Amino acid sequence: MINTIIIFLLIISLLLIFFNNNTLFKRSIMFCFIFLVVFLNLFYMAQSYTQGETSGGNVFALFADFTNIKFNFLIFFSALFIIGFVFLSSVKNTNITEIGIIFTYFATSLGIIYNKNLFFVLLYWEILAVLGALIIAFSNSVVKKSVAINYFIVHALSGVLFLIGTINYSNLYFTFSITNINLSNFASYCLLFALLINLALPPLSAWLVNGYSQSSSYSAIFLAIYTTKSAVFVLYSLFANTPILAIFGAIITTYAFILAFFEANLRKRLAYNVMHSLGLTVFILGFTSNAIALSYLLIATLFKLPMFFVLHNLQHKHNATSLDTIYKKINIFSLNGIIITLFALENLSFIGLGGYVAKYWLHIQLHHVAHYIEYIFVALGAMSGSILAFPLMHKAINYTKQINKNITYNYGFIMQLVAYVLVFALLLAYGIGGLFAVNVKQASIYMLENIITAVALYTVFYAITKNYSNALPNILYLLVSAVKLSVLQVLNTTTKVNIYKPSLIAKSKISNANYKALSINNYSGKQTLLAMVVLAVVYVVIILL
Amino acid sequence: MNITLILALTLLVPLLTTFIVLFLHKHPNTRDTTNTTLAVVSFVLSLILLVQYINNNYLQATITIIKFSNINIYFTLSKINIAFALMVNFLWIISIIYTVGYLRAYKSNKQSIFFSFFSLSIFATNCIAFSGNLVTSFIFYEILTLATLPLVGFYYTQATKANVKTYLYTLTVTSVTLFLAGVVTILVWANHTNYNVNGILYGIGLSQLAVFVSFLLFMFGVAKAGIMPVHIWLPNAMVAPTPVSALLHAVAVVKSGVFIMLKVINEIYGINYLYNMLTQSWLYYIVITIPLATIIIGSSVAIFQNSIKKMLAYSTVSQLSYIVVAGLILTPAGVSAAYLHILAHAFSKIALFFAAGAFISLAHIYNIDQLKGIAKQMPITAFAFTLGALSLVGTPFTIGFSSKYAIINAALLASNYYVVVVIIISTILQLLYFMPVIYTMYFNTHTSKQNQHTIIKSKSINIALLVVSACIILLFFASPYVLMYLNQ
Repeated sequence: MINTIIIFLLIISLLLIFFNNNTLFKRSIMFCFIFLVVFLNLFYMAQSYTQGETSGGNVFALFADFTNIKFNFLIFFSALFIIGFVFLSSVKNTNITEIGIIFTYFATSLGIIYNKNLFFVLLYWEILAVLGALIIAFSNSVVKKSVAINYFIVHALSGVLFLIGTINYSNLYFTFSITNINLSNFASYCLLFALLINLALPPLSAWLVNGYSQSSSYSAIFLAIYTTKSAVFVLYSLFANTPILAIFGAIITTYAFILAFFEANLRKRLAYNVMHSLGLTVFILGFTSNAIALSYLLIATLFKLPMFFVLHNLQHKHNATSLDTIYKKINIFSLNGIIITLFALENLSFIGLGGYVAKYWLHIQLHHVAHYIEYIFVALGAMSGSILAFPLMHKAINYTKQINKNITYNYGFIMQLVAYVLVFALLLAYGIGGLFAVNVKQASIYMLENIITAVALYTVFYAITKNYSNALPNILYLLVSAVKLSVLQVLNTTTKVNIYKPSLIAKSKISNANYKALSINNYSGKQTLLAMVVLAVVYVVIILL
Repeated sequence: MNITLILALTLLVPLLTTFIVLFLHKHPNTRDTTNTTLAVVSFVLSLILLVQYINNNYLQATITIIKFSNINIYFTLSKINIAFALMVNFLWIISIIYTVGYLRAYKSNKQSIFFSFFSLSIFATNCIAFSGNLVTSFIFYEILTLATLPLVGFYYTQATKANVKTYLYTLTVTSVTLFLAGVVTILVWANHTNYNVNGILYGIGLSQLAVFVSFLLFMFGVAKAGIMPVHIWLPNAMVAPTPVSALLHAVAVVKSGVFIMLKVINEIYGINYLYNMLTQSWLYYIVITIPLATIIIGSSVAIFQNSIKKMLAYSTVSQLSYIVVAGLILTPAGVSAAYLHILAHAFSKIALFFAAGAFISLAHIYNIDQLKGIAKQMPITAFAFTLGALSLVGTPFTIGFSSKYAIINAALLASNYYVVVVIIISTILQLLYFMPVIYTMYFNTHTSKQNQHTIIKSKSINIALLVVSACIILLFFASPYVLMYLNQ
């Protein structure tokens, strides 16, 4: 059913691309299709849910079921597509064929997520590679030819390995149905390496960095969302809890971190940061079959997405693509500046933000099985994000100081100090509270903490410079992002599935003994508390800079 | 209708066409209409054969032309023969439609002669398709060489003289020395050369080395199969008009070569016999390494070609060895995969050659670097080229994917990882020569007005391109049924 729908949509969108010259008409149709796809997918998902695909039976319960990772991917893919598309609409001179291809790309990635049949996944997988290369080819970059060809060839290699793996898989198991398999035969190795190529395993990782940086700045958003996330999803379905993944994940993570250091191009640095998230997810999947690893990746992608917007703005409004060219281009109080600040905080897992929540989940899942080595890679991630965000912030703050140096402060030093103390007191208090939130009441407090943090953050900036220019949009942005994350936390707590009790999320893979070990009751929280204090200090340093 | 009569008509219609088009040389429109009609008739007859053959529980029919002691020339029906003839006759129709547009764009005054030899080539190919034994195949193999020679030398000049000679000498020398020696060897050993689905050499008591050497005689003797180093006729034949190149590379010549090779593997030696004789020793690795090396070398050489047709020629060299390799997996699945790849390659390569011919005849573009931005001016041609290329690479929703799937499946079932690794490498190599072309067509823009091409419009070329493109996609969905038919 779903294959038919997706193929139908693909055909329609391709027909639109080739046979209609009315741009306005095409755009309208495209928008209609997005919502149609999302609706059809929701309908399909709900239908399969009520038919007993997962526990329950209530369609509405599906929306609160965070254990259903397929549903999470659906929401995530669709939501980000709509966000990306709205952003795309603001971009002038977009190519309608390119938009059509992006749309097809999105529909194809849904095909991968929905299919339980490896053969159909393979079909969509190959189409995704073609479309990805096309998206890059449509950019205006001068080096796009080699990048697009490289992208396609590497993905074709992945495709042929996937094909071989799929055939061997069907010969061995007499089915195409996807189940968790061990690394014990030729099929599994082929499939694993096909997936790892799509997850930028060095040395076959240049496609990701070059592809994301050389494609048009708006299509890079879509490239960053779909190919790798689809690959992670299939990796999770086939190889979750396979120890060797930890090694490959560590390689990807470390490689991304090291290369990010030597990279001056901003988009490439962001690409390395994306690559790091992938590596960390692969690393985690080496230790657990819990879908929490994927939740981490989804949240990480969510907070990286605005950075793509920022870099697009920098490139197109100021022609700034590298660190050397951004001076006097960003005001810390502009939307760009705020997003960069938030991105830095997210990477540092600052309490109350999505990055913190995601990494906290990970830590609870892994701190026994991974013997704390996950800290190393999480820290690398924080640093790889920071080496993109900090220089931007530093230059933005310097520029802001310059343009505001003639303004007279109304509040004076004491007021600023009060603001600082207030903010950090709140952050610390609610952060600690959030650590132990196991019921609705506490989660609500946690939600409040998020909102207050958001407002307080702005108060600090306001107190420093008394800049009115971007007040309303900035406050709104912070509020929305805080509410968004907070609702997530409350929903988690209101359903029986508790994010702080991971054993309830892991349905069957964790034994009772492990359950107790992983339970929050046996967890002191000292490490997280310590990390929090350290991060708070870092935060102060950032602000003072 | 009597099935033997249908078989006879299927064989004779192309021969009849050879003479009719000559008689109608003063009436080009009537000639082209008649030519197309007769091609359709030939296709319909093949289709009736297929239906009758399946409905009448694999009815047998035989036409014996000459019988002299144990040497005879005769034609017979089998599922493979019919399928091959059906494919050839279908592509003949498309080729005629395309060639009409091509030759009229060139305003050639030798169109009737061209069509006449074209039909004669199809006649020879049909005869190879329905051959009942190796002797018949050999005779019509030679006739095919002679029938295509005037087509290859259609633009005979001092510059192309050497190429035409190479074409002729390579094919004839290899066949009259090695191929003929192979046929005689089989005749001496088995006392006949009649094709049999189980092979004809069981119980003769041959040594491994004897089988190995005799097999090499066929491998290098049937030069139309394009195994290196006897492939050299193929790039040299590119001096021919593009419809001829399409005929050579996609429909008649090379397909006859690999078809005979598969017949030799499957119905002369028999896959079980070859398996027992060769796979236990290192000799097998020599036999299979030759086509595997051809795959890699052919693809590698194609990467460095600037001429579109030469690139496609080396691509053909590589792809033909895919078919031979699939046959040499020596399992029923491998043989079926090989036949499926004949189909896949035929449609994909004809699309590529038709597109290349359209670039040459309609835009006077001969080299890849001249293709910049041509997709905007010739969208249908560029699309057909892209689809053909993607099909050969093995992209889903094209017939090339199905055949590649079948070959890999056969190799994995036989635990032949050697073949699998070569397929991985060759896929990358194929992309390396196809992707820059596709990219140049669609995404490289003109640098100056000098690069703007004057395009001649041709409906018949566009129709042929669209039909072939549609077939590439439709055959993907039909491929399970084709495999089912081949496996029965």
